[in-house]
Amino acid sequence: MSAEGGNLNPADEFEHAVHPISIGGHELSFHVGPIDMSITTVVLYLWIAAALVVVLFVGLARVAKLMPDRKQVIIESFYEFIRDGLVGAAMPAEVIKTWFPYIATLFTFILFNNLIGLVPLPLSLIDEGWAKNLPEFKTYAATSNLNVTVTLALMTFVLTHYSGIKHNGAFRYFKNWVPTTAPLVMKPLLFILHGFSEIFKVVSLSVRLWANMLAGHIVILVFYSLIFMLSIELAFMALFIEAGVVAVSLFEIFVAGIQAFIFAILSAVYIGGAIHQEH
Amino acid sequence: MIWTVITFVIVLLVLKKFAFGPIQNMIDQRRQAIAESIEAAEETRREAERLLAEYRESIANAKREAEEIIERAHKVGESTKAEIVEEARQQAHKEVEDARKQVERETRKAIQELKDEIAELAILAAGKVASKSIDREDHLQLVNEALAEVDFDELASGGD
Repeated sequence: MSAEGGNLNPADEFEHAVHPISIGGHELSFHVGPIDMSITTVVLYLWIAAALVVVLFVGLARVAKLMPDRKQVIIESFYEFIRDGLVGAAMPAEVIKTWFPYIATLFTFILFNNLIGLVPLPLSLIDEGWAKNLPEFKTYAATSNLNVTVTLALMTFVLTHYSGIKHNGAFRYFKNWVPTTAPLVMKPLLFILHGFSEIFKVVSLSVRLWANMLAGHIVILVFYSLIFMLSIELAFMALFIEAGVVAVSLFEIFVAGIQAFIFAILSAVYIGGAIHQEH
Repeated sequence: MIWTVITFVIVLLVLKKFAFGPIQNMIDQRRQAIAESIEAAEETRREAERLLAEYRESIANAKREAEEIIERAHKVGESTKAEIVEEARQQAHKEVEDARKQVERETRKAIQELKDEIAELAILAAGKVASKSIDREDHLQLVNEALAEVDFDELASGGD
């Protein structure tokens, strides 16, 4: 916590994440044309999650044996859960093989991003006070940044319509947006309505994940803020508050899994629905 | 935003190539291995059942044969026993018969001897009484006639 005394504001805690990181006074701020490629805390967290996913899965897959040990059973159960419980449940059978890698990566990537958001990591130094230049443990999740979730949702959006057009042909795909039984005069209106619903799928996907992850962190930070606000003739109160933090954190583990699952299975449903359109 | 896409795509490609593929392969391989093991076990079980049935049959056969052998031996024993008994009986019978014949013969012989002795004695006695009134030949004639009237058979059977 960077706050001194009683002025910890939960809302400020997420401000720093979108600014480029400074190392030795140099800001890692890059621009390629109009594209901002600065290395921010968000990017760092994305990389940490990505590295964890890759190391865990590839590491375990490399030592996979015919006779599995415990770790392998866990990773294979996880794999089969994604294959049968997530992709298999939401997509037409003949495209499962094609889309499994995308949905599985979406699920694990979001899951790990959500989960490392619960682990305090020393990614920056305290910049003032008695503890200046000591590592500052902070919790942050890349998925509590709206940019990240919108990007992920847009990938699903693009892939949904790409696979819809690829499987059905552009004309038939867009024609199927409107029920064939609708009166002719209503068809343009229905088409526009359907277009809006497609856009709002992106909004709902991204905002659901973002809001859930952000809310979880804010609740935890609010509990911590209470320690400073009640400061603290009542030192034992901090214990009660800490218990509250533990409870909320446990709940957040559950939320992390659920939100990753919802994002992945809805992506699967959207893509599957575009491939096998209802007429 | 661009970093999200880049990171995600890299993770996707790496996982697809180095994790999902090998894991799926391993699961398929294991399924194959398990199917083969089950098949082999099934085969072994069938073989074992077949062998068991075979052994059961041969044991039953052996039992039946043993019973037959015992039965046959029993019969052979029975008939041998009967034969031996019969033979013994015949032997005994024969021996008794022989003995009886022997006795009869001896008796007859003894009677004959007795007859001769008596005749001699009678001749002697009569000779002394009649002092040579008749010669020895006539005498013997007379005695034999008298003796023929005596029933020695009765005597012999009484001494049997």
